[in-house]
Amino acid sequence: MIPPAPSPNGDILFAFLSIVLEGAPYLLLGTIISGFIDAYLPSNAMDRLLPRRPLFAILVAGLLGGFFPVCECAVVPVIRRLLKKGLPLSCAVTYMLSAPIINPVVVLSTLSAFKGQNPVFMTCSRLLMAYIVTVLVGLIVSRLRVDRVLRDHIMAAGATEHSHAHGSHDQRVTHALRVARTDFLDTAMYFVIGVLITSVFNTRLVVLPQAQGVIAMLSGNDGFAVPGLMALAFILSLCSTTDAFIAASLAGFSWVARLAFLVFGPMADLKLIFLYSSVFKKAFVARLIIGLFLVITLLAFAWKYAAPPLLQLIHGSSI
Amino acid sequence: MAHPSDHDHGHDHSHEGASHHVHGPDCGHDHDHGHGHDHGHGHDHGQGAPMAAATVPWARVAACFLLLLWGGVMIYYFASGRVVHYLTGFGGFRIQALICGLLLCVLAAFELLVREPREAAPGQDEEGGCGTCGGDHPGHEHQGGHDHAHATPGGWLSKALTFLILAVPLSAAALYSPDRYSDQFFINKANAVTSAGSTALGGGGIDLAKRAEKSRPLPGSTAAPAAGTATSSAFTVDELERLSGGRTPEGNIPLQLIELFYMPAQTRDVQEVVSTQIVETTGQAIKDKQDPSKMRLFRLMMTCCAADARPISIPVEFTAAPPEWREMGWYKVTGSVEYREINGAQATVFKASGLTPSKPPRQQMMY
Repeated sequence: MIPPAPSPNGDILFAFLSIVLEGAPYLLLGTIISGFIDAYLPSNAMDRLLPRRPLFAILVAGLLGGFFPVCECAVVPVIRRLLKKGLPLSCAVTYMLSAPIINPVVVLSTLSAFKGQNPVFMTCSRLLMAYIVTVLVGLIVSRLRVDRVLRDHIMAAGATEHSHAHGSHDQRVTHALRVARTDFLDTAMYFVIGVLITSVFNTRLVVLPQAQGVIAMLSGNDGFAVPGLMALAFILSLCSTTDAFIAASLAGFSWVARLAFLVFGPMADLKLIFLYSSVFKKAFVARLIIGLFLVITLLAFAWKYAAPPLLQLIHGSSI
Repeated sequence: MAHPSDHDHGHDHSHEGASHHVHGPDCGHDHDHGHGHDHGHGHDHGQGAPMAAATVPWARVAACFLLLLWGGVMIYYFASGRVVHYLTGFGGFRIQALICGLLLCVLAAFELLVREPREAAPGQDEEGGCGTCGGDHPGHEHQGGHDHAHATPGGWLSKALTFLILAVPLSAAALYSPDRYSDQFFINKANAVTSAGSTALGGGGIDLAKRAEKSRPLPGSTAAPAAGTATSSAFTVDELERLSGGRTPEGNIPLQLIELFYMPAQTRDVQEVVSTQIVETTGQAIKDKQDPSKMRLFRLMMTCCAADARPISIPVEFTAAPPEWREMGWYKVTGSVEYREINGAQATVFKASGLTPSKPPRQQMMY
């Protein structure tokens, strides 16, 4: 098969296919994990694993990514299933938002991407800020009514979930694969929409000289640069395992703006809007993303002024 | 009809209501959603959930088709080698795509071979799970009923839409993706280089030694695979020759633009060995935004997939009078490199003694 000649529309298809080839394995991984969770995890396992007190449960959920590392595409089918297994909503949201950042793969990629640019400081700041934000979101979500947050069919399925964590090994594998298949197709639909929009933005809008001019103009002032880079992260929809390399290359921008890019991007972007919509109600997704945007902006500025004196205190070096 | 092994497993549900789940073909799905909250407020979901439209074989045919389509595209792009234009050779992205494709085909085969028990849709009038209690606390034991994997609401219209969304964009991309970006995209990206004045030193973690081991040059590729650091203490000219894939007939060390760009992130001994050699590299020529009389050589680099392509460029200074060159033309430059601080970051500067037009490399992007 001889590929057709390049064209502006071809650029979109090219970018689309490359993200699909990159992301689909992670989506499938997530859905297979989801299937095996359904088949092997007893429905009250979450109760036993997590502390009883909601606050502690949320604090633990924010760290689960360290043990079950998944990136942001894979985490959505996983939490869908964990919700059905009785994982409290607040913990599910905290895990969903934190796992793509607070995991070993991302730690390593951030450390190496920022080599020569304060890698340890950037990595620690990224993890710390992500943890604070996700725990905060979890606490807020714990105060919301579940039926205002979850889509009806997720709730209905959750309410009627019955444990498949029994039966023979074969039955369980059969069941796990069936769930994986269904979840894959369900989530892939949202993934496709998100990736398609991202590809159009990426190949048609972000590359325009005018857009590049705007990005360059923003870089001088953190008041614009922080929200500006967060908006860029939102549009680019990068995978959390690799976004650090892109952030490290944004030379004109301050570390605060790049930090905001690294914390916001894995929690909220174009493709995630659609993936999240497979689980949550639209109004909740909208509020979540706006809330994350505001909280991360605030925290970024707080950290901008708090970090240098703190570092000075700890080992007398500056950023 | 129903697959007994799946729904007739030995229930030990203490909260199970009267109905035992042996779902026959015409099962009325009057399962009692024995809602076992251990904090005792079981609202009763025990209404007879209306039967979902009879499980249409079309749904399974469609699911099979989609899984095979996705799996087939991924396997084809791997097997045909076209994947090299889409994903980097590092980090296992390509092999992941292949495995994903194979697994999707396995799921499709499984879909065909293993009969599926009928599944019910949840009742439309169901009281939305455990809305009243919030359900947001440990201690729920959701038992009873079964897994409504197909419980996405909506009729045939939304099913058809889902099918189209899953089938059309991927098929279109698989059939009509050109495997490379258009010239316009390159011009836009080139523009981005200079307006950002990038001398960035990011991404220094790329392990050039590993690159040498892993990447095999494509037949006909003008770019050499590698230079690198084996051990930081003992980097020699011999090693550079070996890692760069051998000298060119003219006796130059061929290096990729990306390797020169990231040279400041290498250890001092690597930098020194490279700076003593006559090297050559290929890229597209563009005007330096800050000083239009100067030339930069640029290429696109992907971090993991083609969609994250970003421009990498190094400034080129000529030792003699600069020759004529064409904006966006592909050139091979020959000369030596030095390292200098530009805009606050260490950057590689190419001191060119020769500039010859060259063919675009077969692989549009570096990684």
